[in-house]
Amino acid sequence: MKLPSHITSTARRRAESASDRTPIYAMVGNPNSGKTTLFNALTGLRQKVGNYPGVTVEKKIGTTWSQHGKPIQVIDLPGAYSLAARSPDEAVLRDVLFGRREDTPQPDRIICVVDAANLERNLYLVHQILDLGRPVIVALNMMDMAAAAGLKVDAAALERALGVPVIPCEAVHGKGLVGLRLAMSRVELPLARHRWDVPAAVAPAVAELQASLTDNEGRAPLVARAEALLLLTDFDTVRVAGSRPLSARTHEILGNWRQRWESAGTDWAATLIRSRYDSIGGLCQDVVVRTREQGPSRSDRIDAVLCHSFWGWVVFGAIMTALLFSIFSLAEGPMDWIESQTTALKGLVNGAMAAGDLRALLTEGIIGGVGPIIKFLPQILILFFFVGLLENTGYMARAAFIMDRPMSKVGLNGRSFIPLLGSYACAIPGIMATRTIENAKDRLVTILVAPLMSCSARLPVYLLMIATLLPGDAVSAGKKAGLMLLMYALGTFGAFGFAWLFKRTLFKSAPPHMIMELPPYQPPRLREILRQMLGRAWLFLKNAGTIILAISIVLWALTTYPKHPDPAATPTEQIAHSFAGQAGHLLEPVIKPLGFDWRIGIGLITSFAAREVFVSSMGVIFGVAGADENPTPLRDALRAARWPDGAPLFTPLVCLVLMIYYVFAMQCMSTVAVVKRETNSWRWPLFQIFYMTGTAWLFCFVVYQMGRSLGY
Amino acid sequence: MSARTQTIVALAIVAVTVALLVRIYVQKCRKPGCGGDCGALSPEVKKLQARLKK
Repeated sequence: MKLPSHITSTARRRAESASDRTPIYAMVGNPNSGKTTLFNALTGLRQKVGNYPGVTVEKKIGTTWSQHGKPIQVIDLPGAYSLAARSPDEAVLRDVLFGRREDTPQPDRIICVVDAANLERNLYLVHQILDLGRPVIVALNMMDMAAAAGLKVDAAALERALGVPVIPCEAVHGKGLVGLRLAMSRVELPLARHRWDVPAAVAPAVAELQASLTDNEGRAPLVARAEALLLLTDFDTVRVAGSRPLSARTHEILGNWRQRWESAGTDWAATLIRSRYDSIGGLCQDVVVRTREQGPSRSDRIDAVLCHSFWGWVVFGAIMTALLFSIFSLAEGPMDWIESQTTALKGLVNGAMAAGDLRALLTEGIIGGVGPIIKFLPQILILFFFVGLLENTGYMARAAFIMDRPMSKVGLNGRSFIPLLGSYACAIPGIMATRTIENAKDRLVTILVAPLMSCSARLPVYLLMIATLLPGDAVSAGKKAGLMLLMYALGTFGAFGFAWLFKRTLFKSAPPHMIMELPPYQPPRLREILRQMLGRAWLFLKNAGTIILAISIVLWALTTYPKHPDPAATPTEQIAHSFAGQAGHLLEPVIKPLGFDWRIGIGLITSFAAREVFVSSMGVIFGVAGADENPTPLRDALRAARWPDGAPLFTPLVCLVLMIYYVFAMQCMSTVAVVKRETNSWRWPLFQIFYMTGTAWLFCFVVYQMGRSLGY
Repeated sequence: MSARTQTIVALAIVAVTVALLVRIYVQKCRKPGCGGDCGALSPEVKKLQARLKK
C-alpha cells in the first residue's frame, strides 16, 4: 500500500511564508555524524546552553543569519540512530519532533545531518523524519570521508529521490556552509516526496492510531501518522519528565494491536522496520557509486591488531605503561627547576623582610602552599598531551571496546566504560556522561563507582608520596611508574569490584548489550592537542592561583593562631597549639590506627575541598614546622618529620597507605554536589561518602597493620 | 615593617581570603558542578559562557 507523505495544505504554507516569524530549525542526526560541529560552525558562539526541564539532557539553542540578515534559531537536538528512544536523550529528540514537550516549540523545519560515508544507516532516521511532513534539509556531511572510503554519493540524485534540498558539506573544514545557509534562507522549502510500502496487514493499525492521535492528542495528520508508525515499532517504552503523556484511548489501541500481533505470532514491528530498510536500500543503490572495490580499510587493518582479543590487551597495557613512564622520566628536569625557583623565592623573601607574620604568610602560606602544587605542572602537561593524542587518533573508542568484555563480567558494559574513562581526568564530567546510559540501575551504579577512578587531582598526592617514598636519584623511573600504575589499577579494580557488588545486591538487572561505532583512525592534529593541553594547564594554574592559594592562606592562619603563650615555643608546639592543630588532634584517634598523625589529619580535612589541597596543606604545615632561614623541598621536610617519640612519620608504609587512602576516599566536595544533582537526592551522595571513605579506612587499616606486623 | 604591622596586614589578607572563599562556596551551592574547573568543557563552550555572563 502506498501512503502519501507529502500532502500539506497550500493555505498553511502560504500563511507560514507570510508570517514575519523566522522559522525555528531543529538539527538532528546520528551520533558521530558531525551534527554538533555543523551546529557550532553555523551558530558560532551565538548559543544558549541549558537543560530540558526535569531531565538532565542538554538543550542548545543557537542563532544563525539568513542571506537577508534575518536571525534564524537552530535547536541542536541529541544524536540518535532512530526515533525509537532507548535513553533520555533520545526520548527528548522524539518528544520535541512530535511536539510532545510543553517547554520546547515543535520546530518548523528540520536539518538532517547525514554521514555520507555511512549513508544507509544514517538514512533510517531521515526516513522517519520525512514521514513527519515537515520541510527538511539534508546536510550530506563528511563528503571527504566518503570519497576516501571509495564512495561517490550523488547528492543531486538523492535530492531528486527525496524531494528535499540535499547540501553536500564538510563541517570540519567549513565547506558547504554557504549552500546550507542559502537553503535555510529560502522562504518556502519543498516537501518530501519519498514513498515506501507499509505492509498491508499493518495499515489498519496505523490508520486507527493515526485517527486517535489526531483526535485525542491534537496532532497534525502527517505527524500523527509518523507517530503511529513509531509507536507500532517501539511501543513507547522510554518516557521522560516534561513529556506530554499519550491519552488513555491511544494507549488502549496500542495495547490491543500489540496483543493481537502477539497472539497471532507475527512480528509486525520487525516487518515494519525491515520494509523501511528495504526502501532505504533501494535508494542507496541509486545514489551511491563505489569508485573502487571495497576491501578492508586502513582502520579495519589497524583494528585487526588493536582490537584483537590478545594483542589488543598487549597494546593497551604497553600504551598505559609508556604514558606513566614518560610522566616520570620526561618531567624530572622541569620539576627540579620549578622546585629550585620556589626555594630561591622563599630565600629571597626571607632575606628582604624582617621576621614577622606577613613574612611567614608569604613564605610558608603562599609560596609554601602553592609552590608544591605548581611543581607538578610538567607532569600534568605530559599526561594531558598523551590523553589528547589517544583521543585525537581515535584510540579511546578502541579502549572502550576492549574493556567491554571485563565490564560485562561485573554486570556493566562498554557504555559505562566511557564515563569511567572520563573519570580518570575528573569524576564530574564522567558522572555527567552517564546520562547516555539508558538503564537507570546501570547509570546509578556507574555514578557510584566513577569517583574511584584515579582523577588528575589525585596525581599531585601520588607524586608527592612517590617522591617521598622513592627519592629521585636512587630509584629508577620504571619503579616509580610501576607504583603509580599500581594506584591506577587499584582504583580501576576497586570500581569494577564495587560495580559487581552493587549489581548483585542493590541494583540487580541483566547486563545490557553494547553497540558502539568505532570512528576511523585519524592522524593526530597537533594544534588541537596542544590547545587542549594548554587549556588544561591554564585551568590547573588558575585553580592553584585561586582556590588552593586561598585555602593555603586560611590554613596558614589556622596553623599560626592562636599564638603559643611561650614565645620560645618550637614550630611543632606552635602548630599543636593552633586551631588546625586542635582539629587534627580531635581526628587523630580515628586515623592513628592507619599510621597517620594529627598533622596528616589536618591535610585530610582540608583536602575534602579538593584532593590536591593535601599537598599544599603539607607544604604549609611542614613549612611552618621547618626552619625559616633554610627552606627545604617538601619531600625532604616530610622525610624529616617525626612522631613525638622520634620515630619517622612518613615511613614507606605510611606513604603507601596514604596513597591507598586517596585511591578510595570520597575527598571531593564538587563531586558530592554533582552526584546530588544527577540523582536528585542526598541519599546517594551520602551513601557514596560512607562506602568510599569506609572502604578507604578499612583497606588502609588492614595494609598498615599487616605491614607493621611484617616489620615495615 | 614592625612585627605588629606585619600581623595586622597578614590578618587583613586572611580576612579578605575567607570572604572570597565564602563567596565561592555560595556560588557553588547555587550552581553545583565543577564550573569548568575540571577542564572538561571545550574552549568554545567556555567562551560562550563568558559571553553569556556579560
